[in-house]
Amino acid sequence: MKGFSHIYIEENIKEHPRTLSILAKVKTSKKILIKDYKEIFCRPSQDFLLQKQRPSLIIAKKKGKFVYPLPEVCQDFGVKQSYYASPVLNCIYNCSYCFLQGMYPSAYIVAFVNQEDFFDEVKSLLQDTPINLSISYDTDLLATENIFGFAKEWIEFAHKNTELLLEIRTKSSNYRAISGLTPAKNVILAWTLSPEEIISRFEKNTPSLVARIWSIQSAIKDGWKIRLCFDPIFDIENVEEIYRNFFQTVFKEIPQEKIYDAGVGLFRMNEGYFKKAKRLMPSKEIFLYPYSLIDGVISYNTEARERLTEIIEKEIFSYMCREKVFFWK
Amino acid sequence: MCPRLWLRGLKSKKVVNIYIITPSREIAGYIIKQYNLKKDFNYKKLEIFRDSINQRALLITRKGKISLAAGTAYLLGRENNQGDCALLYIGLCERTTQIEDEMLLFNRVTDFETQKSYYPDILVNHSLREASLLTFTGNRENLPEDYKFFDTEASGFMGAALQFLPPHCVYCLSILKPIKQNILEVFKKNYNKLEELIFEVEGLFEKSKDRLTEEQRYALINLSRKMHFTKAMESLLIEKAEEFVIRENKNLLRIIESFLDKSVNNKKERSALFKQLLKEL
Repeated sequence: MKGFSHIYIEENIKEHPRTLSILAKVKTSKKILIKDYKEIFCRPSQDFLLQKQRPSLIIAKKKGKFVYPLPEVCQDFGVKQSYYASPVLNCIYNCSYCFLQGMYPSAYIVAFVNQEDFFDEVKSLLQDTPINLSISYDTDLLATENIFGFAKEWIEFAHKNTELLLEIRTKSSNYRAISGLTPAKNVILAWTLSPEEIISRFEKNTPSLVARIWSIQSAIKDGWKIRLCFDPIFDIENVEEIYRNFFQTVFKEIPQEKIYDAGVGLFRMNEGYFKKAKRLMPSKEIFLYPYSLIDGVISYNTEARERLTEIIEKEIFSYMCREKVFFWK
Repeated sequence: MCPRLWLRGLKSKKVVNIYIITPSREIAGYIIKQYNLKKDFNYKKLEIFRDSINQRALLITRKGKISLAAGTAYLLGRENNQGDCALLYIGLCERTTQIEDEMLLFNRVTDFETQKSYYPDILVNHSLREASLLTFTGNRENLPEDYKFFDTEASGFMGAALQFLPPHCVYCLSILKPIKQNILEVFKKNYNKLEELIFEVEGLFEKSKDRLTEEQRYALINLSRKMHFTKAMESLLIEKAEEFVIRENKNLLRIIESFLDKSVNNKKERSALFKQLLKEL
């Protein structure tokens, strides 16, 4: 990561220990005090793509709600009480298919320093029932762990709250940032894996498949619960051959019995986000496929979905048992 | 109009991509000389100067926050530029701290009266010093301590400019009111930095948006005219053709040619042919 062009800091948290800790790690950026992060993040007509090329950081205090029910386009892995929280908004990676470019008005990364408020809301939810919580849907927490250190704090929180099942999803190879921690039984480290052909085409700035596999191997060795996310799956040329080779590579390096579970999902996006992202990047090949709209979600048409599902099922079930694999359909 | 002529007309249309606004006649005079700008007599209320290829323009406003806001809105409203342009304001400011005479680029401009702050997106490389500016018109004794630089008008520019343009197209610069030298000397010393900034800003607009070749576009318009497609049908056809060219590695012209020998006699036939054409793309 090149670093941040500017750092915007909310005045009320400029002396917050987490703010100071973050600032100590990114000394070279220009610092600007602001009243509220929305002054920057929600400005009209921002150029998401230009901002992605020259990202800035906003350090803020989150107000209002902290934990939300998981939307339908996300997989719940069979757990009914599934929620997500966003301690950080936006991601350092630049995947062409990412829904964030259609969801947020700005590409700047927002880090919320009032983590305790997140913890309090999760605790109050846990009083009623155990919950499944994803904290890395709107960002890649592990990729920015060296700057924010939030993954470590959430893992420590999970250690103390065993009713919580925490998922930290990542594409990064930065496992070493948390490798010193004691693995928690109720924390799942989930890696999104894609064939190298997809990574080079659509997942700009992300680590290679091999680098992700190495991280997974280290995490397994240390005793962490591992989830593999083959999501999103794309209908590309030679799809059958590409995914056959991909699963072969993955399961040659990662023993399937060491995997907690896996998720599979075809490319899909909320209609509104898709339209906005397409407006931003009308020439990106990912937005030019003749998709279908079903219940407000843009995805492949029924024929393509059935064909892709058949291909992936055939491949994945030759390595993993059916009970461990969850499909988003 | 013949589609080819229409295309040529589209190609030769130049748009201004850098507008400079200043209330300082000394700075304006130097810029006019450097860019060889000529007065535009179409503008009666304010003075506007342009270069011969119509890519850079300069507006001289009157002094004061309201005059600057009015001038900025007047310029942007009259020019009706559909994006791909940037606005640079070059004003004068004062300091409460001991630093050298220089030109500054502001990443935050706050209006003391309204307490509203404006934030441009500085997404380019530059060698100017960045700072925060306070627009303040009251008694200096009441000046807040946490601002090192203040002026009397920049917030007017920011407020007006950000109503029309995205934040990465708005740049607020100021020359510190010189202690030892005169304004023009300081501006001249920093002129290279300004040129460097303008060069980088122009780079933001260089991305070509034309995904069809002239031949492909001509063929599509030709087909559209022959089949009496409506304007809406023509723009949808061009949009789908653009997507086709990027997505598929196939010959668009061959598809268009295969439709050229067909003809339509009524709306129903036109609609059927249009659907068939879209299916091919």
